[in-house]
Amino acid sequence: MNNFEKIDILLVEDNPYDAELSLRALQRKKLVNNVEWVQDGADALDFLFCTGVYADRTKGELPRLILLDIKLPKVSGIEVLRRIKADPETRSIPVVMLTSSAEVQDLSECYQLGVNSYIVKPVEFDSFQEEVEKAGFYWMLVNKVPAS
Amino acid sequence: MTAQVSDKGITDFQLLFESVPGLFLVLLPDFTIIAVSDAYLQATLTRREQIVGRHLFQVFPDNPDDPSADGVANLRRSLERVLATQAPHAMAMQKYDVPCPDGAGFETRYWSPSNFPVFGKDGAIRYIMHRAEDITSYVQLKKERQELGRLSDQMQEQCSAQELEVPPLSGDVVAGFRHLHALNRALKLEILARNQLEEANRELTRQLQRNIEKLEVSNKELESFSYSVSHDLRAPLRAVDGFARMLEEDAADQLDEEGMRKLQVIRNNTRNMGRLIDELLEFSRLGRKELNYGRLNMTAMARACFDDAASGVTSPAILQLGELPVAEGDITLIKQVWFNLLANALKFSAKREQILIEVSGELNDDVLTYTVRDNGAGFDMRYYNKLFGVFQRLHRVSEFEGTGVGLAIVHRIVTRHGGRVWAEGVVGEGAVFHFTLPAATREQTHEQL
Repeated sequence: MNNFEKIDILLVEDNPYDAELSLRALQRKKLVNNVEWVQDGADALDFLFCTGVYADRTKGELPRLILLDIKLPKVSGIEVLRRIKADPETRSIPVVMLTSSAEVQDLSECYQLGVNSYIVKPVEFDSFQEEVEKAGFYWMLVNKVPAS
Repeated sequence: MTAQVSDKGITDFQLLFESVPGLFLVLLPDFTIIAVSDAYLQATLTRREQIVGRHLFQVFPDNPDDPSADGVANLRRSLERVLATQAPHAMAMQKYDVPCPDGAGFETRYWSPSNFPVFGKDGAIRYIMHRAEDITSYVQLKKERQELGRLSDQMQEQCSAQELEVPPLSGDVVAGFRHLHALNRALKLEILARNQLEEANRELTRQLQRNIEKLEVSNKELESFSYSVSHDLRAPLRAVDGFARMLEEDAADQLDEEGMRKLQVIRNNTRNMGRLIDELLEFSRLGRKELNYGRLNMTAMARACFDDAASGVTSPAILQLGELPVAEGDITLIKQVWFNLLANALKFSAKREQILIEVSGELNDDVLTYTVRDNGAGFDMRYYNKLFGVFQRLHRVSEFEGTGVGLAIVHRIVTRHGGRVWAEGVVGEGAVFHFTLPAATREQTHEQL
């Protein structure tokens, strides 16, 4: 069942309203066409490593950017980050953490695991939109990753 | 002794002299020994023919193995004194080691010597009578007693250091032993008491440990609480603001002016609540942050904070700043105090045509007091008890913006540094804020308030 389109961005977000806001921000600037939205850490790992519900997905078709919430059901965002950065297949995908809190402990742990960027979601929509757009623009259009 | 005394008694007198129960030597003025009592010979381990006719100090030299030996010098001084003053002289107690007859070293002895002049008919000194008393056994006894006394004193000191009743020490050795027994009993009691104390100590330590663990747990709870506050309260707010914004963007043509105003009210309040949550979190972080003490240049700090805070004020503002005394404190936190106080002063003076802020400081009795005075709106002293409370405000939002956390933060920081903060205000005339810091260097404290 290789009917998955090429995915540009994987959005891992359990809060549907935050997800909607993020998707709106990303699509507003026509940065991306294909965003895959998963709602917990386990689904994120299944998607990336083609297991579980994503077992039929073509291996090696990896997103160009991962937007990852920290506080997630089942498998936490930090654990997902650890798995992504530990696997040579996925290590070079840029990961941007999206989080509600700026806890110093989370921040330093994420950087130790090799996160590419870290965004504290602002309460105000305008600022939120701006942050998501900036991250999408930089990591999708400016940043060059090694060809796989 | 020569025949001058009596024709018939020469031999007898010599016998009598040699037999006296005391230690006697008879010397010529040049210190040659001419007669000696048997007792003296016995005490000095010598024989008569060894010493009679010889010079005193040839016969009795100082012990060469004892560098502190001064018996010969002392004896010579005493004898010369007798010759000079023509009067008897009693010497102080002497340590003089006696040469053993077999040449095998010296034997330690203590003496109480005295020297008497014997005058001839012409009134000149003819002989010197030297009398010695062997007080070695007495001295040794005394030494032992001193040693015993010293030991007792030591124990007494130890005991009194432990606040135990100890009877005064008698000079009597038997009493000394009794005393030692008493001490022993006292020490046993002391050991018992000490064991009990140690047990109590261990119990206290255990309790303390339990309390620390509880504290750590509640600290963790507090941390996870602020995490939840920050995460869980902000998320719905983000949705409220975000969806209001989407509505504004998507349905602007379906909303009239009043509808748009209501949307703005929703968005403004969301923003305010977001700020309140952020400041509440900041306030709770301050309580947990460890204080890092350092020397603080308060003059420079106050000026920098004023410049920072004044950048957002439209009216011209003048800062009157004298030389402030240097303080000790956490640079980040004390900077926050200055910023909050100066920003407050500027905010509440913003409606003046000319803002004047005076900052001063002084050192009195180990207490540093800093003062910020403004000519702004002031406040009503009747509501003073609300001034430093969290989320407490004395002005309407329409008059002056703010969340009511700034002065609560000032209060918490100053209190954590061991200082005080207070204020005076007159409505329409201005406010004065004072805070103190201890002048002496304080060790790092981890107290959490």
